[in-house]
Amino acid sequence: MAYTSFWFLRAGRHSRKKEPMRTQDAVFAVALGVVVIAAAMVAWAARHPEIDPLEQPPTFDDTVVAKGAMLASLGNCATCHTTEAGASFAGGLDIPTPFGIVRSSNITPDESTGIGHWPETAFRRAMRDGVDREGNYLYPAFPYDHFTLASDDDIAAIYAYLMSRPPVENDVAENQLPFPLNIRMLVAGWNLLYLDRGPYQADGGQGDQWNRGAYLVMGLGHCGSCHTPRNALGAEIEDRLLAGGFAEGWVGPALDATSPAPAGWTVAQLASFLRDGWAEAHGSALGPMAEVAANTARLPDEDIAAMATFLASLQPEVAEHDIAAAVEAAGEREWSPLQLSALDGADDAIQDPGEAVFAGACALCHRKGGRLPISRPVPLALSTAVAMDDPTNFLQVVLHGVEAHDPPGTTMPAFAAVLDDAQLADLANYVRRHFTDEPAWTDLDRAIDNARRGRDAENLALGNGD
Amino acid sequence: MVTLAVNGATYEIDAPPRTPLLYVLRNDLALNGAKFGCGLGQCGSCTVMVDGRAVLSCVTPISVVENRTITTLEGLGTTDSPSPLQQAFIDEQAAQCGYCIPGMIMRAQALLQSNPDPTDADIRRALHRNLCRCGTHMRILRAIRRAADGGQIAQLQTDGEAE
Repeated sequence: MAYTSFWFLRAGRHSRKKEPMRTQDAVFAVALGVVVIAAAMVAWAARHPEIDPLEQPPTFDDTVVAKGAMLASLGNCATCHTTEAGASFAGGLDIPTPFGIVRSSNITPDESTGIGHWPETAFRRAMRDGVDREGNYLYPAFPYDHFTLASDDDIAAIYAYLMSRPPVENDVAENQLPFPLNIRMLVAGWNLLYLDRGPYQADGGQGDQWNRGAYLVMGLGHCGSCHTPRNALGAEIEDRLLAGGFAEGWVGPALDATSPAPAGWTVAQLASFLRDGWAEAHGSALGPMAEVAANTARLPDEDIAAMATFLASLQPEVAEHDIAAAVEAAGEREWSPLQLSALDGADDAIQDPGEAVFAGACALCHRKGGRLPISRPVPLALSTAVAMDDPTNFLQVVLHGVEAHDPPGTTMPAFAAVLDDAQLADLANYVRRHFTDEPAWTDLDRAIDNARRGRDAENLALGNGD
Repeated sequence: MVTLAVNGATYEIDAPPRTPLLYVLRNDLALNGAKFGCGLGQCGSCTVMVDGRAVLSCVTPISVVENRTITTLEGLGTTDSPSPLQQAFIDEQAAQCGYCIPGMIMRAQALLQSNPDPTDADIRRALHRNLCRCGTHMRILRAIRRAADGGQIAQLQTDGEAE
């Protein structure tokens, strides 16, 4: 399953109802018009020339190619540039945006349909300026607003890696964007407003490790694509770095001081999460983050440590013994085996319908000494999905389950066909009440409706309830 | 008491609401097609259909499937008169130890009812959560292909909804 690591599925949450244009929308439309005109002018002034095609296929040093493989993994390049049935990097994945469908390009070295003719200068310009070899503006669905921070050496390594992949002929169909958004030159205006061109400049007030981490997180890692909120034009809001975003039907939780994680994040917890996709005080990387964590797992220890150091610096410092205390406190809320067996033979022992669902469907594994240690469930009181104000991630997990990818298999079954909406809402309310001290989730019905769409439709077509 | 509609019949079940559907099917209703494999929703041998979709009966409490349409292997056909899909499994000799096969058949049944002409990729995707230890996967795939190609899909759908 190819994941698109962007914010675009947010469109599905907000674009369902047509309403009369409000004053602020009108103001916005005028502002948009001004931006469009300014963009056209800027585009004219700053248009980029075509870069001459390569005449000879380049050759590369193996160590540079290997480094490029690792960096391309960090950048999740294959995630968007590969379809489920297609060859790696051959492009063609439909990326839904609020503005229309953008299709990922073929970045294999095929000469007619890929980047086989691109010299390194053209590739660097694409990464840093969002412009292709011919001089066309690329759409910011491609996160060049992050990749621009990458160093020349790192960009060269990714170029070497991609150019040494097997060429695949795949002529990707045009984007489906309405007029005037299909005019690529308009992106020049967006770039003027939102592209802070790289490469990364080190913060002299911070150490090397912190700077390395910031470079990886904000650059190739493009963590902000999912974890930073965006404005109406789809740009990440500059002064809300990693304050929580939305992608692919999942909430990218805040990684700054507003993080909803019950136990907080230490350098060690972050490093464990990026290395193993799991942390003792947080549980597993889920949804789109599972693939991201599988990619960061390829990084060397020093880069993992650097990313963890930078990310931890965004939050109030948490001591290791506080983590241990949080884990222990969370354990207190877990169901005990005794609690379960006490229910046997007591037909009406449970009054709360959500608790009844939990007892029958969840408590087998989600209790002290749960029966599936291999999937490493942590106490639900440590779950960010349960603790955060938005129930979306909790619903995604319950409806669609959790699958391990390497090796593939189920780690948590899905309950989309088992639970109807009312039962799911009962369960959500019970879990929220029992495992947190937070107020009940609001607007559950709409969140359930949103979480059921997409994956559920695909499973319905297969007759799968999970 | 929980009311369950299984294979076209209605049963009043005297069991705690949290009881897994699988236990009731096997212990109370003597419908032993669905198997207890892992009991944790990991292997698929307990798969049955609820409202036409494949679900894992070992992690499904009876309280949540009250008054919904439950179909087990026994609801498809009999030894004397197997359903087209069951016959296809027999024709392809798709069982070795056979423990996983009821779950495989039920998930394949749900697939064919939703998608009478699945691609091989669809079949693999639909069944990927069901495990077989003997390694008859290729025969299982052939059996489903055979049923799908047999032009008996309409009949399958009728059978699946019989009650």
